[in-house]
Amino acid sequence: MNYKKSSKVSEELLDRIISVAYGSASFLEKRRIEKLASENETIQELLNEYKNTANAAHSIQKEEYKGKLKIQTISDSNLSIFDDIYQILIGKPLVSAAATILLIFAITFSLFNNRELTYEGYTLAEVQKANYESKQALLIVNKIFSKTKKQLTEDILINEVSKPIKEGMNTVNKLFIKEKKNEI
Amino acid sequence: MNLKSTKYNYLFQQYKNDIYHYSLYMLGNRFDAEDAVQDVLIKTWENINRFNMLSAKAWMIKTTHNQCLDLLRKRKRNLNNEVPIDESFEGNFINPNETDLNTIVDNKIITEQIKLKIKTLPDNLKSVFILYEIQGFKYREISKALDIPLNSVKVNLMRARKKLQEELKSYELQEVI
Repeated sequence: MNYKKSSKVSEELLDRIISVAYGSASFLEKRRIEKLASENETIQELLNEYKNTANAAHSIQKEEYKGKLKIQTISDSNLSIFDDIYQILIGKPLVSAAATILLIFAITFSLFNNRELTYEGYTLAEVQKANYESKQALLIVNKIFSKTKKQLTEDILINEVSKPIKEGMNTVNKLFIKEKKNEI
Repeated sequence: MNLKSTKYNYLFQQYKNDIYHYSLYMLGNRFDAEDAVQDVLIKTWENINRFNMLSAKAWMIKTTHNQCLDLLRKRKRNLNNEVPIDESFEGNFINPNETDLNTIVDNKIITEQIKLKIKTLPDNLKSVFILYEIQGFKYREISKALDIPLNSVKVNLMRARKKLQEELKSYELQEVI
């Protein structure tokens, strides 16, 4: 339908105009109707009329209820901590839902973190490093043993053991020779 | 204070204005609206453990709607002898910064007219219009509260908007004549 030429507005178009005027149409729809309105005076007039009504209707403020409660067991003032907790946890499900999601996220995160800490074998680099270090340690021990053996054979056995034994044997030998001379 | 009182206190604080405002438009005067609110609050107290707190808003509006319809039926039986009281709709439209007195008066007249014309809408259109345009409910909430299909909410809302516009136009014509 050519809305530019037509002065009458179809029911379908009227519904669209009303939706735009009351602000319940999408952004694109709003642009489309505003474009049509700029080209057609009837549409523009209708849009303005409905917009005025919509603005006035939306400007109506809620009346405040000032009456008291008839039920005597309840006082509407001095809310306790229990009331506050109730309002947060049950009265406002969004808050409790958000807290639950946060808790679930924290638990899941900690579980994943723990998994990362579990033993999954050594890497090749770690094995090579350990191998190198153990070789180094064995070499040091080997050196110490070699040095000890050398000191034992060359120094201690000759100077501290062989020599005193030799001297002792010489002394015994001399004593035997002296005794033999006395017997003769 | 026990759990029942706590729940009731919360619902009262949260929805008292909603149910009062709705009753005010449905019934058209302060006295009946206050009676309706008290009846709804008593029903809420009696049934507080029977409905889910997540659907409390819908339950309370539904109860308010039924209560208003009951009162309207009773009123019709009483030979329609009620005199409308316009004081129940005090205008809150005046902006203190606005200097143009004509504009203030015009706006106030338009708003008051709209308030009056909303009152004259058929009940099924009026309830949807008040809940959506004035109380800010969503389609789904209205559907749940009034126990009608979602499409009916949309159709009734559109009809209400058109009807309101027609009523306002006829008022403008009368003013011109």
